[in-house]
Amino acid sequence: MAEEFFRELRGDYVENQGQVVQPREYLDYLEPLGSALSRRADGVGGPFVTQFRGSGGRVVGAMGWVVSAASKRYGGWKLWGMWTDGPVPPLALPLCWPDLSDPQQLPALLRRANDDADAMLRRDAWPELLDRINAMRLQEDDLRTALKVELSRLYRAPQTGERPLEIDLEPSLLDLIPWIYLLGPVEPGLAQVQPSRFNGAGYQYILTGAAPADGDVLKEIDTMVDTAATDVLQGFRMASALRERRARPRRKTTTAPPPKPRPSESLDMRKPAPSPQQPSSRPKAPPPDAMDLLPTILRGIRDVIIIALLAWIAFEVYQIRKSLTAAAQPQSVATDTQSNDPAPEPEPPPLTREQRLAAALVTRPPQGIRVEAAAADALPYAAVELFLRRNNCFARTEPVDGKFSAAEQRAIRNCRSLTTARLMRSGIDPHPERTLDWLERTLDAR
Amino acid sequence: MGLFTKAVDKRCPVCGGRQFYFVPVGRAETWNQQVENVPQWKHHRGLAPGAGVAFSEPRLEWDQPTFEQTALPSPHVRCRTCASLVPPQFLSELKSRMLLITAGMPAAGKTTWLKCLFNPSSKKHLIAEPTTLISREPYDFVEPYTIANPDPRTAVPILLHGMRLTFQRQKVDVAGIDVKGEVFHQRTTTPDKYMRVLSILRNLRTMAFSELLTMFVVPFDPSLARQNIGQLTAHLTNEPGSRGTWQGVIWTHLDRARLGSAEALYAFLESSEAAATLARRVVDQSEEVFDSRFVAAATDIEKLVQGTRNWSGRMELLESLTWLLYRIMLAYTLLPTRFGVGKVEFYFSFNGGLGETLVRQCMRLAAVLFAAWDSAGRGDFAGMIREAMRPGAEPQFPVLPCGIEFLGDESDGDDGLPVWGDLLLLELLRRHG
Repeated sequence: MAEEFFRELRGDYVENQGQVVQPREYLDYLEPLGSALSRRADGVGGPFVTQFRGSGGRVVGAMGWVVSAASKRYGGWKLWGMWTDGPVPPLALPLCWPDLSDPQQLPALLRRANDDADAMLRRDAWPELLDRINAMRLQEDDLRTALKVELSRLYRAPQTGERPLEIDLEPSLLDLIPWIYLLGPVEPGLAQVQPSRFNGAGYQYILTGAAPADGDVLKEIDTMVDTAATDVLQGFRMASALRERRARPRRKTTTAPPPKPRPSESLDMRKPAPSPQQPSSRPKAPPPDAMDLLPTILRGIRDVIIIALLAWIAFEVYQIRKSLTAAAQPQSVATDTQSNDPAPEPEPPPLTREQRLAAALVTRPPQGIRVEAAAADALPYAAVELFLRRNNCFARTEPVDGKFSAAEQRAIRNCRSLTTARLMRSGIDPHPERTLDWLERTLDAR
Repeated sequence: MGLFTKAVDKRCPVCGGRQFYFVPVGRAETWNQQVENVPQWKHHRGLAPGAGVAFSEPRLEWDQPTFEQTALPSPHVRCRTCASLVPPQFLSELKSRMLLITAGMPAAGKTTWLKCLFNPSSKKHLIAEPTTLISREPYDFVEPYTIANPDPRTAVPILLHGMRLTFQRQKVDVAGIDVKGEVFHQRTTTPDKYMRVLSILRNLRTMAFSELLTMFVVPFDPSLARQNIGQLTAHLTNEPGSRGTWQGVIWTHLDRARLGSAEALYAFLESSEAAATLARRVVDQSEEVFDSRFVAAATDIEKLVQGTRNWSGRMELLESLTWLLYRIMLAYTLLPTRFGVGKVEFYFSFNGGLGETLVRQCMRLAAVLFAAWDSAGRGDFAGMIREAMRPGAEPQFPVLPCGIEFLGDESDGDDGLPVWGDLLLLELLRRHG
């Protein structure tokens, strides 16, 4: 009987044995998978797709679900899934996704995966498989928006095959992962997915309690995700095209039309190569004189006039809005600078608490303490760093940068005031609420 | 050419290499990437080349000595052979350096205890701290982690750590190697790691040190649900008769001991009026546990325990006696305040070192209780105990009792108050002094 393509993979923390994995020879390779879940409650975790080079140099792929087993031992984890010789086929994760998180379903899932294994390996069979991927969840607006934002961010990130792209996710948004895997910037056949840090291409998801990130959505991503919600195959094709464009050298990936050849270059070229956009007669044209440039100049003047008109209209609208606001607040007086501003900005949206604190932290740090701009991105950490310095638990001369250095971690352990203030949740994990409360009090109190 | 080629006494504890190079500090992320290019680092830890190093922090945002060589002098050095980061205490002067090997099964309390050695977050139940008279300067890095974040789970089977202790004019460099408990559990699953650890231990024993201490971290476990490290002492090349090393036990989790029947406890101690009275005071939660007859009472308990056979049939009583010991340890915390002196003064100088006398008495009691548990089938240290407790042996089989007072339900080792977590530190100072 032929050996199955996908074989069962299980691991758990067993009393008296420690962390175990079946097949047991893969323990060292799979051990990092669950380590990042150390501080998570029992059962919290997510999917993984990984590959490693085992003994003899053969590549082994594994896919499944890993969760914290902290109740058995702090840092322990449990996993279930499947492994195979060679990398996990690209469509395996989205196809298996609906049942992957349920360990009870593993035998049935394995059977189905093995039935489809042959098709998964044949590219010509992919359209049929892609059609079978369940896209129901993608019909939900919230999830689709979150996916668009996340994919846009990932596509904008510099591409490197050496380290994973990080994704911050609420556990309730784990359903984004198979879509990110399928539509994201890393080729699904190469991508690994893990909750822990790894070296290689793919995605590292970090489970957080934070709300989904907000951000701009690229036009292509918007279209691609909307398409995938109704037609997975078409969405996948668009993603493949996008990945291909992204993988090309930068000068080729630009979406703008190629610039017209500069006449001076044509003159310098003794034997210019003909191209479809550039007829062979073109290089022989005489050099442009002032008359040739006239239409360009006129177009420029026209554009300037239009922009000036638009600015004037915007200014008028702004003045009207301001007068209405002034009626409500008679004491507020516009400054000369504002009145002379030719293109006033629209009213900015009200700042969130975090933004307000970040701005206050960077622009008005406590006296004698240097705060780097990066600190604004990690306010709870920055708050703890600030606390250490204000309470003489750490040198004030050291800048606050939003990260805990080894010395700061030591100071955290030793700072009695910090313990009393209860700004740490555990170990070196700042309490997200209390730190911000403290920061707010501290910065406002100045 | 290495930096210390002429210094014959300076060797890498992992591979025995004698050449080292300086490395700068970089981000842990950089370390994680560079380790892939240094296969010897994994090889000397019994890890497969493709295996990752398990990190508990998802973003690896801390600083750590990298693998790249720097021409500038740096406080961080790596072995040229195995690329291990060697804490400076391993390379310090022979006269002032001590080597400490700790081994224990998973969840024995090793990480908690190591944190106590470096610098515990809370010192309420420590014997001699907080004080300015004793200073500890730990080496910040326990590769692949930092001392502030020693990870409870890692595929790396051994951790090297270092600490400089200063007390009065004494300076002691404690070079430590912590053997992860998983290695013993998984010795058939990951034989490479296990064999590598044995090889490292053999290598360590050939190195020159002023003291060599081997400590087994053993949890209090009356149910014997867990495998005991004592069952593996033979694997640790720890043959009876080789008393060149100071072997002992850090007896953790004593806080788990429960009082069974108070009446049975009184009945057992009734032959000694001092011991029975002490037990009554502890059971009644009296604030005055210690009195002038404490030493006599503890000595009587010790004799009674030693003189009793067939402990396997009297486990509940044995657990009650262990509970009694732990309550006495907790009560010790109140003594310095009662006498109006600092903890360290109370231990070393007050009334001729009253604190030290009481603590050593408790250690003696702990040793006989540990031996009783062992004879009742709850351990496998019989060989070592027999040898250590032979007539005239001093000290007796050293048992360092300790526990954790948890603040709440969380028991991940971070939020407890270590009880007598600095006892080893005091023993190190005593031996070196």
